Amino acid sequence: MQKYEKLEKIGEGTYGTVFKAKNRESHEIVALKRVRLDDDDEGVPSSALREICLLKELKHKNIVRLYDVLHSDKKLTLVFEHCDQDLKKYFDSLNGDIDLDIVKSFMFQLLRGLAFCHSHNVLHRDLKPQNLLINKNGELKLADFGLARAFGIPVKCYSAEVVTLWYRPPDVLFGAKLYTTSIDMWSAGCIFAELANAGRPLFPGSDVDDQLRRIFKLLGTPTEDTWPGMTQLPDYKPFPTYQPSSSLTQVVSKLGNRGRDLLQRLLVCNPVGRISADDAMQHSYFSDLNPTVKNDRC
Amino acid sequence: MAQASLKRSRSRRRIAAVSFLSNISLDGSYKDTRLALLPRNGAIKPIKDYILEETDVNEECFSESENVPLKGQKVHKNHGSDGVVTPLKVLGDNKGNVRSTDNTESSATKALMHSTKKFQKRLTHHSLLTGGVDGSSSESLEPAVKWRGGSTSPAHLTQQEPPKRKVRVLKPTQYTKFGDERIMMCTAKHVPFMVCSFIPYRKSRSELKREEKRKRTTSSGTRPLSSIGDALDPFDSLGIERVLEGQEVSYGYLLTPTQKEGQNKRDDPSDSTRKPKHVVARTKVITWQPEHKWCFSYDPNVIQRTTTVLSQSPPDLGEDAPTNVIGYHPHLLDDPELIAGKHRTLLTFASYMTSVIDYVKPSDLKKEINDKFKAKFPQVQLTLSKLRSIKREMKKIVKQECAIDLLTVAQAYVYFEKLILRGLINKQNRKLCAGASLILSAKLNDVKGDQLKLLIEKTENTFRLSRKELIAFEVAVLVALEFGLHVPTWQVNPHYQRLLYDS
Repeated sequence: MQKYEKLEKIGEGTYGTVFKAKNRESHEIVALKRVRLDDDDEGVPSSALREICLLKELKHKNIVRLYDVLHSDKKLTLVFEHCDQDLKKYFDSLNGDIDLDIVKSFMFQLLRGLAFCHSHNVLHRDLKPQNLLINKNGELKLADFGLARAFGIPVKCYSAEVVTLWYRPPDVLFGAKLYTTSIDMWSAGCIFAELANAGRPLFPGSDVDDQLRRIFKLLGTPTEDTWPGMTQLPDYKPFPTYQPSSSLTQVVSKLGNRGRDLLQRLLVCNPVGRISADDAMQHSYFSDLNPTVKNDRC
Repeated sequence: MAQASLKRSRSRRRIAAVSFLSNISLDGSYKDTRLALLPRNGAIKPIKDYILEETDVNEECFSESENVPLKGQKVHKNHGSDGVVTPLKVLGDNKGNVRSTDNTESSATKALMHSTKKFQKRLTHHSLLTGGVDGSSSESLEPAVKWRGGSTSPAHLTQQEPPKRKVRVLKPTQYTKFGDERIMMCTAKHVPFMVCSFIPYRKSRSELKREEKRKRTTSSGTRPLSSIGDALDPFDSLGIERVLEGQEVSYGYLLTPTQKEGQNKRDDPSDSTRKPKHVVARTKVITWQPEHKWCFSYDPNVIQRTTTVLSQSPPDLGEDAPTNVIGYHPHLLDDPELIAGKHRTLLTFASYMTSVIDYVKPSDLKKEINDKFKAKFPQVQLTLSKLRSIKREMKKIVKQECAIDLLTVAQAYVYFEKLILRGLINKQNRKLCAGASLILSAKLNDVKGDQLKLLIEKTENTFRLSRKELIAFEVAVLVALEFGLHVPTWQVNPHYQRLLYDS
């Protein structure tokens, strides 16, 4: 008898179907990811490998838990903790209005999960609302580590084809093949603004050029002075010089001064200047955070 | 004359042999032997009090798991249950600790009664009983745990009348479990009379298979591309238990985070105080000292640096030991110092140091280095020169054929060496495992698309493997490494630096 009873299809992941299922013994609800294994193909998909091997090391309250790996001749099944919805679906249910305390709580949990990944030498590389899961208790969890990778030994061989376009930092947009934790911090900044606007994306670019233009229009075009080495990046091309607009206030009008300050520290074009997850958690924006969220350790 | 006496002694021997053979009991009851008719010998002293062994963990009754007489034992006489013999358990981890058992008279007796059935079942199943105290496996067809309660020591069993025999049943309890270990039975006087070992089924099977394979492959000079017919089962080959076809295996127990494996072990100060077992490369140091003129010594620092004590038993991949037992260090197996052999003399002068390396024939040097490696890692079925040649090939595939970064190679080395240290690599699977390590490492290092296709192709060609087998080994290697592909930087970086330096 199968250990899990399939309930419904949740979606199509990067490498297979995701099902909601129930453990027949404990009645616990889980999410199953099915991965087909073909002998003549390239073996286990790298995204499944990354999820298994990285999530094995990442046990944290704000990171989705991998409970089990089931193997049979032709397939691999990954058994995950199930969450009710993702941040994208949550936004859709909001109708354009969000409680600022929830913004603060979600942002803090995102940073805490991220800080844990980074302390374990893991880059997520695909942060976006669809990959942030939310459960009934208001807990936020990082999910989908199919693009994640280890960092530590700097080599210029990291893939530049990472992170969904809207959440991709300017250095990676310019083709940088060596990056570090700052890649996730940019995405976190984009998500922060999106949270504050109840689901309106900050930089919804249509292609790489449009993406960069949107970024520079808001933050100002960086120069060799503000970002040394920018012009040496593989895909660098000059952009018109936009002046940093003061419209950040208008873009995230609901966010207070402290929130805007944190956002500004996250959205820095030069990756070296971006705030780290640990430092961001110490930002004054979180000083009045609900202590139950703050002290909720893993 | 001389011939006659020779003949006589021969025939005497013959009679003795025939009588010995005919007295081998077939069912253990002795009813089917002539001895069953012999009157009871009064000379046999019945041993009344069998005892339950209870020892604290520190009170070792064997300094090794092998044959050492028992002394200084705490003895608990158990009058209430005469005739109960407890298996003295010697743990398989060679520590020689004896697990203590609960020793209330009634419960212990009961527990023991319970124990034998399973115990016996296992014994007959594995059919590996040791006759003597020596721990070596001599085969005896007698079911071992059959004797009459409280009558004799088994040493005299052959001369004893065996009317109705009670079967003592020993079952594993909460405190005593019969695992992958050696069990010793003792009389009240602490005379061990029976030793038996459990040999895990899967291991013996894979060994058998290995034998079979070796016979098949040694005849052919160059290894042909393996056909599907004689394909190795990757899981079997790496000592992973497999369930029936079509069923799902759960590896949830492997998903516990790797806790800074090895590091704690290496930093453990007690480790360094332990005497090194094998000295690998010794450096003779000759120092000039004014009063003693030439002072000659073996540099203790050098010895300490080049020797590492490794736990001998390969870790069990079963459910009991999901965590890493062996600490890993990048220079543990492929020690960069291990290139010159023993022929090195270090001369320390007041102002400078120099070493003299004697000339050795390359073949002699290779043999010497391999011998040292063998002594250091007896469980490794691979010579150091072979390991180094496989590593060179891995590097060649990545660097020359595919132009992938060396970091991929360095990480693959870590995987491959960990498999070796676990004693899982043999002649048949070494190339498959090396290839699978390389592909796993590449996948985690952003190698994808055409580049990955090329890498798989080149791996197939260089190691002369079929893709089917290579891919089949990927999952097996992943499981054998306990999904631990996310390795700490300190394990990869030394390999990486060495690769950079060499190229």
